[in-house]
Formats: sequence, C-alpha cells, structure tokens
Amino acid sequence: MNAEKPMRSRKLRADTITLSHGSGGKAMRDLIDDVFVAGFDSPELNTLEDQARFDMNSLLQFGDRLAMTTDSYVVDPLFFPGGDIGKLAVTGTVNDLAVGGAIPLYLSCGMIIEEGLAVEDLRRVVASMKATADECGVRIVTGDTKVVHRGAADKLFINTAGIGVIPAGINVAAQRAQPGDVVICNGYIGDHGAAIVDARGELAMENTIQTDCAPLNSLIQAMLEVCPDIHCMRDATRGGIATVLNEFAESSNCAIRIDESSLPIRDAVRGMCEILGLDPLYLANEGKVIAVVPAEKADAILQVMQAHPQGEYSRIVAEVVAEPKQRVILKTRFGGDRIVDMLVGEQLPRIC
Amino acid sequence: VKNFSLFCNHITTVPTIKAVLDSPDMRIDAFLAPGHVSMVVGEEPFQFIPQEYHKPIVITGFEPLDILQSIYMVIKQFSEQRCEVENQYQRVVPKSGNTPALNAIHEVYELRDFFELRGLGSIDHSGVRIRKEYAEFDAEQKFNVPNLKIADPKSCQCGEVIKGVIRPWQCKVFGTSCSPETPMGALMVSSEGACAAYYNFGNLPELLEKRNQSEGASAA
Repeated sequence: MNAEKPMRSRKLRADTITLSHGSGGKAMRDLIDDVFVAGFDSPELNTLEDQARFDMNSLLQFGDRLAMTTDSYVVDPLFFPGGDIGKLAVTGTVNDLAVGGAIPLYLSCGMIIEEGLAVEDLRRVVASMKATADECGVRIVTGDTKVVHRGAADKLFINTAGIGVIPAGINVAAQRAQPGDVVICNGYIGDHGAAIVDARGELAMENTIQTDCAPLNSLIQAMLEVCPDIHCMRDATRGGIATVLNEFAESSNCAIRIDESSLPIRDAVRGMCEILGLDPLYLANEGKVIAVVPAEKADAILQVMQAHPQGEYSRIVAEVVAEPKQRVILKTRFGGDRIVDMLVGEQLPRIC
Repeated sequence: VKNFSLFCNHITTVPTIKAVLDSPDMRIDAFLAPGHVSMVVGEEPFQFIPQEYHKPIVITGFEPLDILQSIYMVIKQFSEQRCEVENQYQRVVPKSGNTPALNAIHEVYELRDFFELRGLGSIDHSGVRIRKEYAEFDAEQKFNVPNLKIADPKSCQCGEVIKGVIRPWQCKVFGTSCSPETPMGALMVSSEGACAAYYNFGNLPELLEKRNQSEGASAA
C-alpha cells in the first residue's frame, strides 16, 4: 500500500469512484484508509508498508510446506443471490488452498475499479470480503488499487492471492486416483452457474437459485482429520465437476464412472438446464469439493462431512475404475453409458 | 435507439426441409422436428411433410428420454403405416404455436427471395430480412455490407450428411481436418451437430478405421 501512517482518520466523501481515486494523491489515500484499511482491519495491513511480513517460526507450527495460489474474479453481476464478488474472491482462493490440503492463512487483494463505480458498492464488497475472511480464519494482509477509464474494466475486478501451510503427511495430488477409490462430492452441483445465469435476469424464472459460494477449508480440515490419505481433491469451479473428474482421470491414467442417479442436482437447476440445453456437470460451482478417497475410508469421511454445514448433502457420486483409461463415463438414468469429455469452448445453449 | 443495428441472417425451416426433400439423392425416412422452433411455429407448418412427401414427423424435446420416445413414435407410425405430424414435446409445444411471437416475427421480418445455406447452397425463401418499416435498425440498409459469397470447402460433405446420403464419419475430412476445435462444416461447429456428436461420443479410432477400409474397398 502506498500510503502514509494513519495519523488521522481520513474519510472518503465521494459517492462514486473517479480516476482521481487511483492517482496516488489525497483522494487515493482517503479511499485506501477509509474503505480498505478500515474495512479489512488486519494488523499487517494497518502498518501500511509496501509488503506484509510474516514470522517464519509461526508458519512452521502449521506444517512443513507453503502453498500459494492466485485467482482473479470478474463476475457480472457484482451481487447475486447468496453472494457477491467479494465473498467469491475470498472463498475461491481459500478453497484453492484448502483442496491442496493447506491451511489457508493470508490473502492479498488487488482491486481494478472501473471509473464510476458507486463507493457504496465498493464498501459492500469490502465488508463482504472481511466477513468471509473472518469466517475462513484468514487475514487480508496486503493490497493494491487501480482505477481505470470507463469501459476499460467491467465495474470491478478483484485478484486475490493466498498463502497457506500444508501439514506434514498430507499429500493430495491429481495423479493419485486408483481403481477401487470412490469419488465424494459435498452436495448439490451447478448452483453457482445457474444462479449467475438467473441473476443476469435474461430468463425471468419464477424461482431464485442461490449460489453455493462457501468456504471449504473447515470442511476439508475435518475430512483430512479422519483420513489424512485423501488421494485427490479439487474444487469444481469453472467447467464443473465434469472437468475436475477428467483432470483426475487423465493425471491418474484411469477411468471414472459417474452414476447419474446419484448426482445431487436441485430441481430448479435441472429445469433451467433442460430449457437452455446446459449440462449441470459442466456448470460452475463455488462451494463444491470433489474428493477421491480410498473406498474403505468413504463411510468415515461421509459421516464427518454430513455433520458439517458445508457437507450436509455429501454423497458418493462416482467410482474410479481401470478402463477405459483417461475417460469419464456417465451411467445414465435409463441405462446407457455416455462419455463425459472436457468442453472444447464455452457451454452454449441449444440452437433450435 | 440510434446505435443498434442488426445484420439479419435468420433462416426459415420449411423451405429448407422442402429443398432437402426435393433433392434426388435424399435418403431420409422420417423427421424429428426441432422443439424450440416448433414452440413458436406450432404443428401446422410441418403438415406438408406427411401430406406431400409421406414421411412421418415427430416434434421432439431435447432430453435423452424425449429423443427415445420420439424415435419410438416414428417407428410406430411406420409399423402402423401412418404418416402424420405428432407432438412428443407437448409439455412445451402448443399445437398452434405462439401467436404473439409469430405476429412479432411477421411484423419485423419478411422472406428473402433466396438465401445461401452452408452445405445446401442457395434455397428459395430460406431466409428472412428486416422489413422497410424497421430499416433504421437494418445493417444491410445502414452500412455497405458486401455481398460476400464464401464457398463451402470442396472437401466438406455437410450437405450429404444432412440428406442422409452418408453418415458423418464417412465424410472425407471427418475427424482429420474437420474437428470441433477446427470445424470446416456447420455440422461440426455446434455441439448438437451430427458430426460433432459422432466425434465426441463415437469411438473415433474405430470410425476412422471403418472409413479408411470402405475407401480402400471403393478404390479397389
């Protein structure tokens, strides 16, 4: 952060963000002090140095390896049923750390703001990031702000990078799936993708679909406590669970068979998919972990998952088999087998 | 609104099906009619297919069970020696279509004399253009749109696939120079195109092997 010590508290009085808020002058200091430093309220950020600093020994108490990740968030609209871009920017990066078995600790926050954004919207996003970070037990420790000309960005883009520590003995990797393993998912799939289509208001559907946007780190910690030997784990975001399962099948050189009748899909999501010709297997999720686990550990893992708020509807959705290698096969409700491939491009609605 | 214009490339279903049915090498036995088109136009426009061409046609939904049921309905028509328009997709498609939508279409669009379709060439009345009452939105009126003609690649056999003359995998470029990543013909572009479906869900090595064998046989 390029700002001086907060000797006196500064107030941002503007209603909308203008280019002056990114110029490095007083307007920018007011924005950083009043919106970001006050909003995120973390000791590392409050020092207003150009970088956050960590004590190595305190990191060592969590494990023996550092994990680091970054992700950018460009969702439109900024606010949608059940979440907003701020919540997404925290949970997305926290989840990317958590699925590696890491305990997420610190986040950075880079904001690219389009000139004209309402300050009130920005405050809401920051408050949402802070609340979500608190829920996840992580701190936002460093940040950056840019304001760009109208049209050069869409309202607000957020980048967060995250650092976590992987406890000794945990080794989650996409190439570790083996025949006999089972695949567990922590609940209804496709909610986020469907909620975003719905929130854009182009369909005027009767039901409101809520995003599943949620942090997964505490659920995953509980899973790793009963089974430190979870073989593979990813959060099924863009590309849906189909993409994650294809990545596992490819990396592990095995096949994964999904049982369609075991897939948890809400009626509202299924209905929207039928109208538009979308496949819920490819719809984005923001709070779904897909874990490949040894079959004999599945019951114990499911038990702790179902007792957790993020895992109430957890179930086994697929199994790992030897053949056909690097393929994902869906056993359909009416008894057929369908190849579930990676998407080539975007999923497109039906034409005729 | 001054800064909105539309370059209209909408096509019509009935003249296109007619052109396919009139082509001498056509090998189609029956039709599954598109559900969303039918939701707007209703059952009536398809009546010429059983009446003039004596082919069964079933308006069909999109889910796997819809398709299965519609194929069953087509086969039933054959076995009972009937041919008529049947509507499997009744939960969405009303018999008379969507009148407000049809009125809106007629208000804004009129038939073109002819339109060029990929794989099938120029077909009379197979496209629509914007009526002169809406010329202020018509890109063809507002801008100088060159009348570009882009010929189908010579090796592309989409037309023969559409007419049932060959199966997708029998096309010379299927799976080699024409794939979903680099499509040459319309049927490979959409995930719902016949060629894309064969490519994604068929056994590709087996299909290519089969094609090479039949090519070898015909060469011998």
